[in-house]
Amino acid sequence: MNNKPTIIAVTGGKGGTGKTTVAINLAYLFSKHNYKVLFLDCDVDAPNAAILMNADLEEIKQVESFLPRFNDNCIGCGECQKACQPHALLNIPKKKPLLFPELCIGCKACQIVCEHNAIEPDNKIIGKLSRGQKYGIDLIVGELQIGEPKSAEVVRAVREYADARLKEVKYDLIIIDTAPGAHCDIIHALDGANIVISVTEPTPFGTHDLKRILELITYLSSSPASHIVINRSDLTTQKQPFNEIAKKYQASILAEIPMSREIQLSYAEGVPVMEKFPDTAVSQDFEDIFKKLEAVLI
Amino acid sequence: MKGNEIIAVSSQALDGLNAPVDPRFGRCRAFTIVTLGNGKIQNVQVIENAGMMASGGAGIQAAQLVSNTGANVVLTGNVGPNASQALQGLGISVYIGASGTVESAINDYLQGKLQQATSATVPSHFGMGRGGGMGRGGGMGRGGGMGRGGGRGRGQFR
Repeated sequence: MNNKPTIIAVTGGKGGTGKTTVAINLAYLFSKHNYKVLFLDCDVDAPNAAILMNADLEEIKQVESFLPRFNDNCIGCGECQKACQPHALLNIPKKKPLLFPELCIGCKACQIVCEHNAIEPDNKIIGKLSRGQKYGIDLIVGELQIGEPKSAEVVRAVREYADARLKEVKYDLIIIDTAPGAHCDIIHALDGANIVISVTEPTPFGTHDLKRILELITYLSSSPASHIVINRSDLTTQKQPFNEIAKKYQASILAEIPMSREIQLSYAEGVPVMEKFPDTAVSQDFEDIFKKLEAVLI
Repeated sequence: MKGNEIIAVSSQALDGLNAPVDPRFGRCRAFTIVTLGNGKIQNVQVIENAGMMASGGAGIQAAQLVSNTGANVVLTGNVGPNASQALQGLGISVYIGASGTVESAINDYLQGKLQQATSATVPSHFGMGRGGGMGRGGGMGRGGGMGRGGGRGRGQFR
């Protein structure tokens, strides 16, 4: 392996398909096989990888976003208000604008259009980063402040912090857990990935959202290998056209994981199924995925 | 003072004094701008509310629009927290509970039947077409003052 760690991102479009379960169990297996693994929880709206790993977290730092602060150069011309797309500024004639901080998205358009050097950077807290360690896996978690709209910025903060860590610690592998959906958060979380695993389920919802995420993956500049994991593969007898979908988006079906009591129990307890039930059919499914991935890493 | 003002009335239609009042401020269809002189209607102008479909900040946008017309009084049904704060910041008085046509609302205002609001009367995003529940707090507690009488606008107006 070369100096840069391989990045495996686990996503899937639909929520609740088992993204975090797959990501953690793979991280567990790689760590057990002496890979130095950095795990990034980029599901900043509902970061719960640490719960599933039963890892203690300590806060590293707060994530801040730009807010404008008006100094006495302001002549109340109102240009900033016109430029403010989310309408976070109110122009009051001959006075400084009134700022509605909760509407500000930190785009700095106001600062760019201001010809009077009247806008200085201020900031507001939009989230925080935490870290922990478990099973030899280093964990970095991003958490969005409730009600803040800029989740992608917190995801980016996780990625930047992780990049900085790479200068100090040599990792073999970065495993990234993403939020559901196919929006900016996910784009930032998938950025630079070498391998993307989309976890889905055999329902019309799973199929629908899978197509969206697979299409998004085809746009990524890192051109990752695109894999599909069909979780709860025996949930229904209704057949979903996964083969056709995989072909259309140049993805491969990496595994089908049937429902199992072992996954439910380990999930409820917050322990990877690989740790709690190492010699079962389901742990064998994860072992198989691990072996397939390991084969492409080397 | 009363009777010599420019009044912006949130309206559901573009037909001036005959338009029905829109109880929503930030997301009304249009504002009917009525200039009063000695308690008589001198001039009527209609401006469409571009922020009607905005995802957020509609109240602030509408307050800005109203302010640009030179209006110093707003008649509407309810105001949300952002609109309330914005209108206060702009020195525009808000009277709530307006109903019927624009013309009848103006008459109610002149007869002192409308209540002045000094804070929000409905929560954020109240006037949005669908629920959605974006959960933004309001408040921010900026002092108001403005030196007019009038009760606090916690009314039960619909």
